[in-house]
Amino acid sequence: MELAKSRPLRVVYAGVLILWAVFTLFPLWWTVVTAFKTQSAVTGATPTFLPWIDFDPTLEPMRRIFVETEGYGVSGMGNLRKLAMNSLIAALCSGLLAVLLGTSAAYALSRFQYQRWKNRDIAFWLISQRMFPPIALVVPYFILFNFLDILDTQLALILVYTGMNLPLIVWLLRDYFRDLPVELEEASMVDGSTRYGAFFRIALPLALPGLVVAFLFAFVFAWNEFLFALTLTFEEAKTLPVQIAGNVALTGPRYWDIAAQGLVVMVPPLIVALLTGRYIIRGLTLGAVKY
Amino acid sequence: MAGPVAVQTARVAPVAKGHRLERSARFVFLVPTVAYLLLLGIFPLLFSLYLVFGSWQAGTKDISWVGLDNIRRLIEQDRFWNSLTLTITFVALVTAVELLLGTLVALSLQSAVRSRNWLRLAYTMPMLLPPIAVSYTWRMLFDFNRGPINYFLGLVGIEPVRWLAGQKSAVIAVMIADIWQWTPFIALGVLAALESLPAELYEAAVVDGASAGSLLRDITLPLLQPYIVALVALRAIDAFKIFDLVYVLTGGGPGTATEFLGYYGYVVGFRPFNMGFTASVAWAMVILMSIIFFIFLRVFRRIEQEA
Amino acid sequence: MDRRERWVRPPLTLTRRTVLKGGIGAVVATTATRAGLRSGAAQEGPALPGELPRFDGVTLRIFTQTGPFISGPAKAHAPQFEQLTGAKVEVIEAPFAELFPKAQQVAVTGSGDFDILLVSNTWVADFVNLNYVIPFDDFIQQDLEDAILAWDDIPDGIKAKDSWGGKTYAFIVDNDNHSMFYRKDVLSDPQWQEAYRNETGEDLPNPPQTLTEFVKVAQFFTGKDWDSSVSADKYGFVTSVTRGAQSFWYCYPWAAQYAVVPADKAPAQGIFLFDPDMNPLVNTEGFVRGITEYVEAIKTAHKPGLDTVRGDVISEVVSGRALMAFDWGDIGPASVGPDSVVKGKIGFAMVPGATEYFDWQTGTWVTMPEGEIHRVPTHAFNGWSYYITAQSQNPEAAWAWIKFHASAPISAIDVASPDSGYQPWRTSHSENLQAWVEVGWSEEDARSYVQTILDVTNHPNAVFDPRIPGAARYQEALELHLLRAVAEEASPQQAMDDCATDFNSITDELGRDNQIAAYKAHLGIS
Repeated sequence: MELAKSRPLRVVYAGVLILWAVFTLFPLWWTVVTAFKTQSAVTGATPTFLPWIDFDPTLEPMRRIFVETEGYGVSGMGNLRKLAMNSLIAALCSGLLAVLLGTSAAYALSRFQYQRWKNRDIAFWLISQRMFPPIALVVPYFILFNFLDILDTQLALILVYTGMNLPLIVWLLRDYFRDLPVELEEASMVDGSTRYGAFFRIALPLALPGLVVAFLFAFVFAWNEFLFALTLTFEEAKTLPVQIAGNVALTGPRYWDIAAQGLVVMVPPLIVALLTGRYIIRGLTLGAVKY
Repeated sequence: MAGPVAVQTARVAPVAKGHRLERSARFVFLVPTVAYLLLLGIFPLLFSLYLVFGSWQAGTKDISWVGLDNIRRLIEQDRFWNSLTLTITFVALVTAVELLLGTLVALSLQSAVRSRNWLRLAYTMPMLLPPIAVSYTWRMLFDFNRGPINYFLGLVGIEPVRWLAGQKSAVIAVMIADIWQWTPFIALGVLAALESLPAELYEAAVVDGASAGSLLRDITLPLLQPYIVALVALRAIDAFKIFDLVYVLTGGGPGTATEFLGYYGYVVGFRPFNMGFTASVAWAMVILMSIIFFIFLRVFRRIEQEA
Repeated sequence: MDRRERWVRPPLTLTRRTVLKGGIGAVVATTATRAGLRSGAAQEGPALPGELPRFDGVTLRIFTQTGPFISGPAKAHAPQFEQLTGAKVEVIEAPFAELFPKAQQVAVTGSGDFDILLVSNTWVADFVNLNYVIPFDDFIQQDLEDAILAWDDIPDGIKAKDSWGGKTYAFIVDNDNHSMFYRKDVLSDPQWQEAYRNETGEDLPNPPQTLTEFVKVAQFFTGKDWDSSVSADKYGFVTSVTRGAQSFWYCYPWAAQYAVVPADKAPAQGIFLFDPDMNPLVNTEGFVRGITEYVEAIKTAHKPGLDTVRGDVISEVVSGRALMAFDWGDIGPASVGPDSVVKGKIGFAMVPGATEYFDWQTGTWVTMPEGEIHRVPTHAFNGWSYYITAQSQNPEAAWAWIKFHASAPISAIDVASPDSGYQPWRTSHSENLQAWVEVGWSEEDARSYVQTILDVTNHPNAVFDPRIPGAARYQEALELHLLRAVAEEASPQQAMDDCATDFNSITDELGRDNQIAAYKAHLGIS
């Protein structure tokens, strides 16, 4: 469907796209190039923008992250592999769990009419779970997980991240299921299939793009999360954002290292986005979040 | 905030004849999620509510009951009220700007003919990145002496701006970074909504000779309304809780210029371990968000009735 | 040379005496190299002047700040300790700003299973109140003659910071106080001396002796090209002015000169933020004058942008853009680091004093006799300190680790390294400077650096950072109001009045009597 048939509108839209591209991409570009700068390229009289043209790129900051250096280990990245694995496990598991729970709840809310508490009330209650500020949750969680003896474990983070992402996923998928044709499921149930059968054989495959998007969001938001990871882990389950936040507080203006570390944390979500790009677009265009 | 919604889905409507599993399916699909959130949420909720009336300081093991002391202290602090005003202003402004820009970007993206999938992906990127890393990126960009933003301003003859050190400019800096990261959220949501709009309406209108502008005004925007309301609600809730960005970018400064409520609770209560106070700030936030949320609910209902 | 060879123990048998009289110099000389600290290779380390007991099968968990600074040395020396004792050492880290809440959560709930904390000296009161840490006194008594502990080698100023309420709960392995760093090559340059005389009609003080002189010098050099090898804009002075960047400590050297009464004319040494009855002194005329001059210096002689953080103070000096700074000792080691352009050009001195001070007891200004300068060096954070937790199953092993890491040969490596974050604290750190020469210092510079820091430690007027419950809350209030004054949101007097109000409400909330008792325990009076 083409909305913009008129020429002036097209020009406006093209202009918006270009401007927004510059605004979106420049900060990313800046992070990327700064991660390959020497100190003098950062602190010089004028900023430098283009590698090889106005500064000579170096792998020094990257080397400090990936290769253990002399002395006390200036990189401060600690055990990078372990940190990355922790982030990955927490994000993957919580993403899967959230999608598992969220899919069925979303399906329920889009297929059944609940009487006493209307579907919409349940949906609102779900989304209201996101309202409580994390800063007030961290201490109770700390006490709860200490009691359960799962502080500083990936399990603790998985539990929290699942809870954090669940409401959004249900909202996302609820609309997704709503837009899927009910007739197919009904037909299969008329043919003797149970509700579960209809769900697993008909609805779920159709909803796959939506599930991928939901998982992607859950994964990324868990990967990015900072405050819970900061307060609920010590060392064993520590994640990457916590580590870089600790480093940079000390190094102050060592932008070349900051950029390199930021880049390392940014890359995995981007890879996930690229790999699942096809699904994102399909997924997002099929379902739209509506009240 | 946990509403009074218990797991009451047990009352199943007398439907589903012929499918004996239909009745149980209603539970089986919904209960795990509700139960999960209740179980994970109930203890923090009650505990933090208890803390609102308690004093739990560094160096003390026990929580002592102090009644309304925390609330009184909170209300007496100008710093709290300033933070409150700041946060509401911030949420209103960034949500409005993000909505405007996001809708514009979505409309533009939809009109793009070529390589639209890649464009969409590229435009999604900021919201997928870790806020901590994004904050560092913006700190580099806003650097007074060596940042590219001041450099570009200098090229067009504008004096360098003390981005992170000025009372107003620091708030603006935080807003710019927030808008950069979260406009894509609105844009994608609106885009998805746009694509789910019924094409027949447009075809009919075009046959009737409607102009592009009137298509936008009379068909697209009204139909988008329910989607936009939902997106704004989601975005406003998250904007209200802004934390990571302030943590890295300004530390709440200069002075208290960027002390948003979440960060205020953190810096005044959490960091020096004054947990009763932290809980009080948090509950103030919850109450405030609930009020905003219920206003949204009213708006939803009205739209629903009009439809 | 093969890296391992450097670590081979020299065939020396050291007694405690030889250690104190310079014996470790020989050891350190052959061992203290940065390369040698490469963690993979550090199986052997410098020889210890004694034996440690075996603790096979014991695991020690140490909680400290995210590295490389502070935690790095602990990790680097762990393999040697593990080899000597059979114990295993785990280092658990958290970012600086989160250390306190985290340590409190841990102390309250007993989670984390830590044996040892390596955290701020100023948090002792909160730990003691929770019965979370145990005193060291029995260990010290038992090891008084032990050459590894070398108790006599620890200055009284450090011991004062270790003890609280008559017992030793903390064990400092780093000495955190503020001193002055300045470009001695510039201040001793005859051309600049002449230019200064021409412009101001006074001699260029080298280095400034009073804050008034300091401000004048900083203003004079701001915007001038006093180091042609550095192309950027240059200015006279740098400090930290960003919230959450440890900024409140940077006003201590300014306020203390005017607000602190000489120790022999006051009830106790180091009465600064509060009088002994916990009445705030931050809004007295003396304190406010210090803040006013601080704000003035930032306005007229500081890097523009008002966005400096703690790390800038170091990097602006070592990159040649700032002429002078008051800071913890880190600028010294950083000045010989790889990013430095000021190697051998930095002078070290005690922070400038004042010719008059405000006596809060009488409410009057006291002028010093002609030619005398009132000096009040300030400790900030006091130093990274070891604590043993009450929940530790192996306090003896924990004590052995602390003794090991604090021993003269091991600590000598750390305090000389640019990457450790530790400042000299043992008397012997000033005697054997070979470790310093190894990492690029001239012996003269190293001596002056170490001596300055030890002089501050042992100064009779020195102010120690208050170790009272809720210290973090007072600091937060001070930083907020200080930076309001710096940002010119409020006048210094107004800001400090507000600060005093906040101080009082915190004191009342925490219980004034408790706070007074704790403060007296800190001051060492009753």
